[in-house]
Amino acid sequence: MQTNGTPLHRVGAALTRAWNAVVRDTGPWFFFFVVVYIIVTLKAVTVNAVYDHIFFGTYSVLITTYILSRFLLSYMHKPIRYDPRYEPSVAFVVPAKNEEGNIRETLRRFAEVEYPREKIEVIAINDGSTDGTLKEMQRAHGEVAPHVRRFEIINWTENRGKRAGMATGAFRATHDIVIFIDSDSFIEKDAVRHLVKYFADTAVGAVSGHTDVWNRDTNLLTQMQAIRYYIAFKVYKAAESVFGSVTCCPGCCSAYRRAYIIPLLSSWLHQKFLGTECTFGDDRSLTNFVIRKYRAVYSAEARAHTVVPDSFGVYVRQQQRWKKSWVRETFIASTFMWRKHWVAALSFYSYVFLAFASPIVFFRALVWHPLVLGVLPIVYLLGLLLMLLMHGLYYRARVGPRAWFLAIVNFWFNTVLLMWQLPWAIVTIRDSRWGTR
Amino acid sequence: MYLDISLKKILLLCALGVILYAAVNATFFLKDARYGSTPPFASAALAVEEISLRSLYGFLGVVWDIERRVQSVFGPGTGEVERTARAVPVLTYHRIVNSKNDLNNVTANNFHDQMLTLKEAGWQTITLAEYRAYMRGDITLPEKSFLITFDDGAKESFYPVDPILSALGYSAVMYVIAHAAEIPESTYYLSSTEIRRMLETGRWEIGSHSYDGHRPYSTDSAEGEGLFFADKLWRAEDGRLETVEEFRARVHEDLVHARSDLESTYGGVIETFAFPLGNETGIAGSSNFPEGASITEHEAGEIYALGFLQTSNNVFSFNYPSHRAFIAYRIHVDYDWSGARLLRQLEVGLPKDVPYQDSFAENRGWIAAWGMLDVGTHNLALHSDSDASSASIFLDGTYLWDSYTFDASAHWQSGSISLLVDLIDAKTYDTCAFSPGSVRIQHTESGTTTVAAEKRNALITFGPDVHIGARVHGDVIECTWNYTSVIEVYDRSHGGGVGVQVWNPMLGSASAQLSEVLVRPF
Repeated sequence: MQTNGTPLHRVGAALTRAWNAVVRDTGPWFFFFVVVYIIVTLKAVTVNAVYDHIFFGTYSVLITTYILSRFLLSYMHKPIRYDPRYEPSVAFVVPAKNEEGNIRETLRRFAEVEYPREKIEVIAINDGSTDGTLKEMQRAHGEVAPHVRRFEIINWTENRGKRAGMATGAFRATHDIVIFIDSDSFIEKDAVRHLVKYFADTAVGAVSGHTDVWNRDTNLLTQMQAIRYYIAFKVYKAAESVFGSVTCCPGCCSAYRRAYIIPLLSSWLHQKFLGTECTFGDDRSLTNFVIRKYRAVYSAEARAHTVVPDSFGVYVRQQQRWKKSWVRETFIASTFMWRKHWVAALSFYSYVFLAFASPIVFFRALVWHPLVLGVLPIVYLLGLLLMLLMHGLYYRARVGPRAWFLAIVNFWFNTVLLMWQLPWAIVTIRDSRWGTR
Repeated sequence: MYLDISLKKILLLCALGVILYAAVNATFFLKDARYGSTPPFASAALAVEEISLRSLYGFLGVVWDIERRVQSVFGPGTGEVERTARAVPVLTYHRIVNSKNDLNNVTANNFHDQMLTLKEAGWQTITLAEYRAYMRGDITLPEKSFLITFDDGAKESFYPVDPILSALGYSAVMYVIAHAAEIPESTYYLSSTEIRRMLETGRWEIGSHSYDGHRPYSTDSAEGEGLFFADKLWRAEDGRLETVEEFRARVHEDLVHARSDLESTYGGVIETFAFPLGNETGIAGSSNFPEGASITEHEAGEIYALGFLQTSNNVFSFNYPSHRAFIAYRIHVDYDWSGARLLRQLEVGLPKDVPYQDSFAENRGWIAAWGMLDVGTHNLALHSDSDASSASIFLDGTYLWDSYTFDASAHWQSGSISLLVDLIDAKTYDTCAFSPGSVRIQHTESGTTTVAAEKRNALITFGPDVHIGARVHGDVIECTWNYTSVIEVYDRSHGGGVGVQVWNPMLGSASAQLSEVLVRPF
């Protein structure tokens, strides 16, 4: 774009900018609100169903209200500036098992963090890897150690589990803020600043960073997950964060105030549920321990990238693990969430209801009605598609031109396909065979 | 709480909220205004259909218009003089559907083809008012004028149809079941809002299709299969069939109710009536009350000015001004007719001119009133049904013929063969009946036959190529054998068209083949 070009060039450039502003930037927002309009109209039409059938009618109205409220709340989420006078010391804790492909890059990023050298320490735990993870850690040590105050490698010859790794790392850390990073997550240079700024408020015990998908463009599955991650953080976590009740600060990039979690680590480590030790859902569980007394918030500016499954089988197993940990931790959280701010509590319990009701509604629409009434579940599937379309358009509007539509179709497809996972998770809650990976 | 409630955000949210609320309300308002009480999802489907069809036909209409203009300027002239109509056909449809397997309703593709074919052949629709004025003799119409009607007032009679009518500059009449239009949230029938919108397009008129006489009613204590307008119905509260007077009163009430209901709801004058289920059997398909049909016809004639029945094999397919004042006939367009087929149907029904010569290369309008008719390679064969002793055919479009000589060359080997003249319908005509050794002139009036004259004549014998003829003019009816007059009477009372009959006392064996027919002016 020539700023000193002929008047014709300048007019052309200005017109192009205006066109882009309208079509490329505002266009998706326009369609986003068109989809919202269609959804609201659809619900207004079917709202009479509430009288026909209290349970399903309520579900229908509630899910729309819930999802729209998430967008509304996330829009009103307040970002805070980082305070240059508040610079607590941080400790990176990275448990790793069989991650030789990514661990070096994960650790290398710590050297590039924009933060005072003396306030950073790194603790990497090799949790019984059978590949070259340890070697990669040692190579990273060489690269990173000069840039941090202390770099410790803990080597376990036998696998003890991620939870043990995280707990050991937290115990061995000496700094104020513990930042847990997954062994396949890569943080941005300014992530630390944006993570720690929230700890200036002493009520805050945990901060979740914003994680995007690293291998977004591998295939349709990863593109779909990119949208899911983006929405899950930018919309849902932000909505939770308005009230400081983020229910899961994910292990890929989260920070905890060490002073608050040290007393909790022991019970967390030996957590038992229904008689069996808990070996998965470590991050959600730890967050649950923290939010009993403290606040957990979301920092949209603390960005990291993580590697997601690119094969359907691995993806399904991961989702199954997550569902099981969700069931367990939600059960635990519902025992104290009512004490929080009423909007947060209402949102939480609504979400629990919706999550458990979804498979029932799904079954009714896709199995019961067609078999018994001969009615095709067009309205249900259309409603689902519209909801996901709304998410996709939001993603497109915020992130810019990117292939999103097919990913939404994939999202819809997967949602329909994997609706059975939650009931199955409840049934197999004690079965810890599908442990990490 | 980490809430950012800046003024800018609040204003934006409020604005969005207002717009969203207004948009949703406007949607429902529009739906009601346009589709009345139709349920929302059906309205959405109709809206999609309307938008797509109207845009398609809006575009096509322009294209066709340009084609026509170009044709009229650059194309070859037809060389025909514009003639005026001597009779007008009426077409009747029910719904226009997408399924090819619906035996009652024409498919959208066929309808498109039919309308386009007719338009390109020069046929133009008229309004009800024009039809009635023409029948009264007040106005003239171009020769290729016709009226389109749709029965029942269903949504599928309007939405797939109107865009095509608009593109071709056609108009139509919708026969509305008054009660059905009041059914709330119907996805089948047009609501009153939609009918009003239909009337506002200026392309549609409405007529009465009864108040609630279009569904089966019971003729005994069990479920109903009776015809509202033709059968005595079961009175459940009295446990008996109704009397004649009750039948009359019930029919009268429905007809009046329909007219007043439609007039008060839509304004205007509703003077025309289409008999429900008026198909091939007319209203005479009754199961327990043969007189019912004529009572209904009489009652309808007192309340309405024009009543439509469907054509049958007994009547000419077009409506002639001098014919019965109240009843008119409509051609039922079958589900599988292509445009060419419909055009042919109209062309063979057009009033024919004398001289008329037919070598039977194709069927140019011969209708079998009863028996079997087959137009083969340059001959026409007629044969009685296996359980009947006669067969009767007549030539469509000949109602207005008056003074002519009707000659036929036939292969006649059994029974008797007759030439029909002065034919007004399949039950009213004059006959020159030839039997071996004798000839007779007969008058048949509404199915009752009287012999006017009979003569013995040894010349009349079977043969592979006999030449029989009939001559009518003034009050004279003559019959000719080998071009010689063999009998005549002077009590001819009316003119009419031509036909042929065969008769044989042995059931199922009456037959003859015609190789040529020639009608010349007298």
